[in-house]
Amino acid sequence: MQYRVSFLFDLLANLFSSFTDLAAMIIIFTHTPALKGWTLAETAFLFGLTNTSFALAEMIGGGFDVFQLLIREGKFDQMLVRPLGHFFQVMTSEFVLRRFGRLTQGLAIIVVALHQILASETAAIVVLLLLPVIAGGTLFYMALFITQATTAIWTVEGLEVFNIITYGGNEVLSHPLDVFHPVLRRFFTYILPMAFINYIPVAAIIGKPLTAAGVPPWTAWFSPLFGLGAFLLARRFWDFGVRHYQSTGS
Amino acid sequence: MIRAYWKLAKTSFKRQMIYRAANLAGIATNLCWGFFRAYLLLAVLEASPGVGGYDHDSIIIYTGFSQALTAPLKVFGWWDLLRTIKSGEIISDFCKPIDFYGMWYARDCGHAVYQLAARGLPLMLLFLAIFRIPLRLSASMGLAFLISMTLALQVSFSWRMIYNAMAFWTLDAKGVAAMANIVSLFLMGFIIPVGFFPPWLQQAVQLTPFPAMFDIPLAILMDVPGTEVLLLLSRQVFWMLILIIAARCLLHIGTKKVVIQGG
Amino acid sequence: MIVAKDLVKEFKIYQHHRGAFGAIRNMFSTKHTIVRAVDQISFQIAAGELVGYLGPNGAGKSTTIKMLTGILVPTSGELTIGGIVPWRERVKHVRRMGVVFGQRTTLWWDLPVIETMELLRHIYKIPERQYRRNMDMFADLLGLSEFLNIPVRSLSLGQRMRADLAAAFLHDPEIVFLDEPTIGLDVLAKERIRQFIATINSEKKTTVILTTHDLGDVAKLCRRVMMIDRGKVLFDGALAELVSRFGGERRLIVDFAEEYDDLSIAGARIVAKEGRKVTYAFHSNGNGVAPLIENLSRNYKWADISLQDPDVETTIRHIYEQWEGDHSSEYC
Repeated sequence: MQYRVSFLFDLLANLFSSFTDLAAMIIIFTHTPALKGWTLAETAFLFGLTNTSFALAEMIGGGFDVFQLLIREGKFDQMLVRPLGHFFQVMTSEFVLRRFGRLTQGLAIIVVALHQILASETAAIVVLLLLPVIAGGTLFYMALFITQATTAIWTVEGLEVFNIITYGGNEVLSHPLDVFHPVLRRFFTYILPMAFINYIPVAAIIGKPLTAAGVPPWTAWFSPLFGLGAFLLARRFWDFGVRHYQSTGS
Repeated sequence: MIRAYWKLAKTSFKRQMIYRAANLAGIATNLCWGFFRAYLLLAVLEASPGVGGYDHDSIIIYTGFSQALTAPLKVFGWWDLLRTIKSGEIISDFCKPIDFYGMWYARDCGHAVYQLAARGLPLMLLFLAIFRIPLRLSASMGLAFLISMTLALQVSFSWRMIYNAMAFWTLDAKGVAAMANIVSLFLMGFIIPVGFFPPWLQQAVQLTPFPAMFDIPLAILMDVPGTEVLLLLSRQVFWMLILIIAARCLLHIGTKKVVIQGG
Repeated sequence: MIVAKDLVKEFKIYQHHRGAFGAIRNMFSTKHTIVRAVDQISFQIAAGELVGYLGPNGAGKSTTIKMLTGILVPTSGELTIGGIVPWRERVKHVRRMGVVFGQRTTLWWDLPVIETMELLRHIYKIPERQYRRNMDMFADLLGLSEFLNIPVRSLSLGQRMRADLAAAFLHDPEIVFLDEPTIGLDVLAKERIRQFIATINSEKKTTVILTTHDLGDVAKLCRRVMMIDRGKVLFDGALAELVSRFGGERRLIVDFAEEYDDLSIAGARIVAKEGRKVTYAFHSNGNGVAPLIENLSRNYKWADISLQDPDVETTIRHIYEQWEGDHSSEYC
């Protein structure tokens, strides 16, 4: 049970790392009441949502994060000879509990931010609306992790670039899309529609103009579908990848 | 003996060259990440002009500089020493006729020089070119910057040795070290410029070694009017000495523990 | 070369606390028990000797080796190697010493072997000519040139071990410690490494201390063995003596020319019988085999006689088993 202590410190370190992001955001808002029309509470709402989805995806799909290792150590070969689905086995091979820190923090921020923004009666309804949004976001991030893992079947060289859209995407989504260059905004709305993870539904809920994304507010209702769609696509890519899997042989 | 350290640094440099694809991926990541940060900070600047003494150009220099230093400062943490203590590989290092701290420092230098030349410098130039920022640096300030950069890397290295040395005393050093790393990143101004901090935090931070790792060379690079270069450099030297002594003491005591206790 | 006198190493085993604050409490914990890993051992090893240092797991072998290499400071006792106290003048000591820990490599993992060699040349300040000469010699004896330019991570285990050996002998050390240098290798690779160690030892007069669990290594390489168990040296002497003292019984296989009802002879017992072929076992501590053969010739007609000496492997297994028995009886 030596791991228990390690785990506690890991958890704390993890909590700290998202805490410094939060501290940076709070510091920014000591200099201005609003950033492109978004207040601290509203930005925190965005921050909380994307981090909650990200943490959930990392916890549930932790196996995809270590997939390279599974291949290298020959563990994936073992999985392929077991009478269970390989997708499920890889997914459950690692449960990253230390991300629990980021998750609880994300959820707490959502609650506090909502409390600041909306009257309590509306807030209760909004929480219900948020559940499918968080589920959609989680599926979206999982889709990204799965895609990255699948690519490792062919090459591991330079695979770190995926961090740009996973960690980088989370970084962008932690702030209002309005602050970024129009090219970035369009990229995250039309090409890789990660704006549906938090920005579009949040803007629709609190009645912000969606000019930064350039889509009508009713599209927010379909937010979870983008996550589901991305997940299904990634799932098919995974199956395609596994069909082309050649064991390393060493 | 100097030649041995020189050769160590060179070997460490060569080792980095193997990972070219990773290095390219790193540049791409730093570039995109830098864009994200730059636009965010520019939005802050737009909402609050003159924030922290920054203007458009210095925001870009800050962003470029922070991205250029991710690899040399090992901002995602460095656990090499910690790992050798845990695995017992450290014993092989004791069997070499070479100073332990010096050996790791030489390796770190090789790594840092490669990462600065192959990743840091191109990144910095890219940022300056993309945002069309002229960098006016007099010869004397250029020299001061190089000295400050060298000191910053040494301070950062000693600090990393200190949190790695925790592994001599506890099996759970990794978590403690990760926390130490994150705290230092924040306080050195890597996540958000020290100039943005509330006044009380700015004052507190000046009492720590962390600005000496990042904020001081940055200030010299940006050539903020009224910068007292000599004072800044001497502050770096002060912290360098303190941290080298601290790191060496910890290693000495830790080694002694291994020698008496068998690890 | 090596003089050890009453060497003792004790370890404090601290009580380990669990839980979140356990780690912090561990740092200040003073509760401990003392374990004596090495218990008053004394020995001398002359320059150029090749000594096998044997003993079951946990016997205190690696603690002794760590003291000899200057990594561990003994609790009490004296130790000088070539006139130097290892831990007092560590750098001076390790400069003329080489080590191979078979289980781990000291080579740079992602760089070609030659890079580590070049690096060691500078660390040990090896003159160019000596470096060339040794590299040529290793190319010859270890086939080093076949994989000199291959990154260590792509080497086979045998190649990696050969490279590690070359790295340990590169600076012409006066004394080399080899800890399980043949572990996990196939028969051919083992043979090559043994050949190398034997050659270097005889040509360069390097003192070699070999710890191993592979008794083949011992049989092929060591004239002298030291056996240690539970911190004490239980045998120190020639390998031949070890075999004759602990090897137990020798065997005499006799092919009789005729059928006999009673084949028993004094001083030997029958352990196997197959047609006219009978195997006797006897202790050699008496007058050797002569009286037995005399006895046989007097009473029987035989066609053929062959003598089997106990081998190292059986002998040492025999000793370990005996110790095991001693321990378990003490615990009862």
